[in-house]
Amino acid sequence: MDIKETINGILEEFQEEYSDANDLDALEELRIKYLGKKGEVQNLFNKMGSIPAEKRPVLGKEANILKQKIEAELNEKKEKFEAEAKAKKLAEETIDVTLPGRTIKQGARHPLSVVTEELEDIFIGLGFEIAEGPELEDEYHNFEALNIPENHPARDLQDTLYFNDSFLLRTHTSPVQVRTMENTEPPIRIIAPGRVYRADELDASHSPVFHQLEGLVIDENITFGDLKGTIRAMVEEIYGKEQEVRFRPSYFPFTEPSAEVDVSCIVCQGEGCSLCSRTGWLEIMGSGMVHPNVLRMSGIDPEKYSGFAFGMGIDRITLLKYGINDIRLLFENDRRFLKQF
Amino acid sequence: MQISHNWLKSYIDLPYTPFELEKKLTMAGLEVEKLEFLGSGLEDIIIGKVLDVKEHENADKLHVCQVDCGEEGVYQIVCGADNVRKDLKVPVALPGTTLPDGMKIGKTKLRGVSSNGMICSADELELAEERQPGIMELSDDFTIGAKFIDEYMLNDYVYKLDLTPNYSRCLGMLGVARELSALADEKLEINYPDNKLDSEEDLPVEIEIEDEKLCSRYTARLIKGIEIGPSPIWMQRYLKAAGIRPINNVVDITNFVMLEYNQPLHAFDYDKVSGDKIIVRRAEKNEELITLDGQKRELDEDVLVIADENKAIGLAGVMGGEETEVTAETENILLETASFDPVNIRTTARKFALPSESSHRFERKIDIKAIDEVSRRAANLFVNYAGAEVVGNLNDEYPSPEDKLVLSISPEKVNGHLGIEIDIEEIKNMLEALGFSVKIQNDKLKVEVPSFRTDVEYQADLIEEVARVYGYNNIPYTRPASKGSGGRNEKQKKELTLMKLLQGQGLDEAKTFSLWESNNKFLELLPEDKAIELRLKNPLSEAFADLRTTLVPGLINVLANNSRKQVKNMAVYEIGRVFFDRGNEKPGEKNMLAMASMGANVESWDLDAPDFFYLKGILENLFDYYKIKSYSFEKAAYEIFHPGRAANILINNKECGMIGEIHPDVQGDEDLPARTAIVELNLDRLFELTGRDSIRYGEVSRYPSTERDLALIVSEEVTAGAIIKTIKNNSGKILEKVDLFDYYKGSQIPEGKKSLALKLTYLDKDKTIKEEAVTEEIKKVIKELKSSFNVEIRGN
Repeated sequence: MDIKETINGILEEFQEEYSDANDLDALEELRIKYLGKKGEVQNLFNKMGSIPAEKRPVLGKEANILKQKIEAELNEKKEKFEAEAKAKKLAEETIDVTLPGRTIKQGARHPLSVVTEELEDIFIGLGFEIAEGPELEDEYHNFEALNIPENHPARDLQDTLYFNDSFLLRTHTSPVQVRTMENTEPPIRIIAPGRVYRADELDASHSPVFHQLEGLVIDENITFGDLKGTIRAMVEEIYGKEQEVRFRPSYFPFTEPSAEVDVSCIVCQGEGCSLCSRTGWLEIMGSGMVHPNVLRMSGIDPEKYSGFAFGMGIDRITLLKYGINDIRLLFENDRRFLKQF
Repeated sequence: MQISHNWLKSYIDLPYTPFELEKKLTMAGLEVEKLEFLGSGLEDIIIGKVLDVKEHENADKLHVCQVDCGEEGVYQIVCGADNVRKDLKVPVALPGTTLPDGMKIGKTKLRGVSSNGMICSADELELAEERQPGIMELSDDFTIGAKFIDEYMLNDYVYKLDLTPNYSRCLGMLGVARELSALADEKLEINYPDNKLDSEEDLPVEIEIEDEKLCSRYTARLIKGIEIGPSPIWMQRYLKAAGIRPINNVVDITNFVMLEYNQPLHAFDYDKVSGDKIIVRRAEKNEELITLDGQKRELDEDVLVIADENKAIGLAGVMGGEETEVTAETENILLETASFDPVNIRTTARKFALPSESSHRFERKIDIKAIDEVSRRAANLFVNYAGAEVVGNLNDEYPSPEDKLVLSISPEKVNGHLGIEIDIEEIKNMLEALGFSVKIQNDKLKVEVPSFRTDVEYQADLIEEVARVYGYNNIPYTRPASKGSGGRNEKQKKELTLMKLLQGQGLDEAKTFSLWESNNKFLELLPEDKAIELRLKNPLSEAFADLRTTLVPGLINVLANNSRKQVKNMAVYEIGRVFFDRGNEKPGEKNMLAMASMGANVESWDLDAPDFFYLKGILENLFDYYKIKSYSFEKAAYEIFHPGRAANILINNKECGMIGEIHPDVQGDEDLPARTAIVELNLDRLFELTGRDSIRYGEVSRYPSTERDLALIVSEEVTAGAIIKTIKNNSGKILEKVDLFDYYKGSQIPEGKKSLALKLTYLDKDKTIKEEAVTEEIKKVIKELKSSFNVEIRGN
């Protein structure tokens, strides 16, 4: 037997089959056939005992060369096939990135909550804390302590819903001012957002249940200028710095001087339109310096301290902010309405 | 209060256009609610005089008129009115004119006769509401060819003022004039009416005031020889502009003077008053009086009346009596000008539901010192416009004239309060312009308050006056020095976080009314403590009559309203206050959270159709976030819920809420999808019991945990909760947690039984857990489950 011939024969056969091998399985078959435990290369080594001793080194050397050649070729093609398979798999895993995401759809906050939180954050930034109080109030805190005695025409300003002879649904958030002053030493700097009630028929612009935000600042040397500056800061945040603010004399029994605050109309910018009843201004809140009687009644010395208070309708601000034209929408809770905020 | 621009101009020379004045008034604190041009739509109507009337040849009812329209020329106008006649002055709309209702007048032919324009009736000019039988007949002194609105005094603007209670002085024209005079850039002079009386006869009327507190001043003046008739046109126009209907000269003069001076007056027909003594007294119990409106009023001791020697003849300050009313036959009147107690007037007007121009003014206090002047003014007008022959003297009962109010204030106080710097002289000038008398003493201002400023009582009132004159908008913007950092308290932060958690879980936020309709249909279906009616004393309507005791009905309505509008999928929550009966006068208040969900599989919902477990899952997430360790759900039955799908929620073994699927009957009635569920939880309790404030780090074990699955079959009535509880109670501390991962009823499981699969996780913090230890634990648990619930362990 000519060793070289035999080996060349194996190599030729391998190369013939190798060139036909088109996938990883075929390669594996070849590997087993040539390099496996019972493969062609091993057969060569097995013949070692049956050939003359002087030829054994030749056989050994040639068989090893053969083994390395086959291994090298198999590996070459294997790597190529593996790379192709990987590329194919990745290609198959391609997604349509425009398909919608999988998620629990976010809920929506009620617009009144959104605006309330926004207002709260503005005032927190100005150093205010948030105070709360009962919705069912007594006459004293809702009226008398706010300098609105019984049988005073100022009671006509608000139509009150009574629960019984002693208790009523608060007509404004102002009783929270009183309760805060009763329980806190100045300096006081609070806002009180909350629900209030009036005997108003429900229509596009009135609701028997609505929301106010009250503010109170008491300290030494508080001035009307401080009131103006604080309110302007809030108006700029809510309505934008370009909106004008004006203060005009008004009357609230619990403040003196009292001022109504107007902001230039957000629709017509002062030109006059139906939203502002062609005045160019929107009335947004009442305010004033806390009346000395109110301070005194709540145990604060008006000679030492002064302060200001303001109150605004959260519902109104919400309607203006989002261009909602009917307050009833705020309480209807139509999902298609809520989802917009 | 409605005021006419022209009327106001008769007292003060206004350098403003109506629109400038509107702004001026508003910025002075007299808010103009509405500004209206009285002649609106009538600008082109002119005065014509009928020169000739001929019958139309082809129509019975038509008249062919030649109308002199002054410079415009003579027009032929065909007119159908019966009252058209030669020499009549009439309002004419010439071709090209548009009437207030939008009708355009043109040249036309009526049955062959050309007609150039139209002679108008009062209703066509919208000066009368009802259809008038004929054309408007104008007074002979009207100028031919002149503008109708000029001659008819409609070339005027009316300001509707929304006056706050402290501006009562501006319920009179002179008060408004005074304000404008003081606040104008240059002082404007006021032309006060000339109230001179040529002669006053001594005609005594005895006045007796029985209750000085309720009537501090009463004056009466006899005026004789009155001739009742219409008041002059200018007075009628001014009254109309002010919103008061002209009646006759006597009534109109009292109203006119009231509107000038803000002092109500009353005229009694003196010949119908018995005796010559006027008594101001409290009514007697069961005394009766027929008031001007024809109503019989039952009086009592709280009501102040004006009486003659026999009986009550008027409700003091509110309304006169019918018997002494001024009529067409009246010749002699008794003119009352008085001051009454504001509170008493208010209660009387309310008691009889009789708010009047008079009571409105007395409630807000009148200028008591001006009473004699007012009476003289009225008397003067009676002479000039009601033919009064004899004017009696003023009988004035004023038992205790008040001292003048003098307030002392320092410029430092004014400046310190407003944040401005003005000197004492400036302040003095400002206050004097408003009618205060001011002296400077020891660097302080001594301010005497004029009697018409009934609203000024304190220093703060003077500060406001200075601020008004200085101009609110001239005060500089400053900010108070900050002394604290501000922020939300713990409870408020928790509530805000809660809203964001719920939003993240896909729930929309709702806000519902905290007032319910009476007999809320859900009320009787609710648990006892909520099924109570907390009715308001004076509900405005039955739709908002009761305080809510729970958020549940509100949210059911939200879902139902959406469902009816074809919105079939919704998950929603509300955080709000509810009221509860505390067995005393004042109901308590608590904050609640309610969540509700409905949905069907038909639309793409991210989860399965929401049901009891959907809401329960959200609740468990909340408990997890708020570190509520010990909570449980116990089956419960309330009529509002499906009898087999409802539970009470317990935290630390205390009931804190309820959860359930809506009863199929309610669900059907409300048009809701099946499995609509709702939960309500006491938020105050949740926030109180939260462990989030005291989180302490617990060391994480570095050793691996071991899991064991336990599948068991058990009788249906044994709850999963009971099984898990038993497992926990019978395990050592190496049991980390128990999760239920399968629940099955149906084929392969015997009738009346269910299959549960649980995963038990074991962990030892200090060492790798041993298999044998876990096996021991499991054996113990299985033994206990078998003896307690007779469970059958599957695959075992």
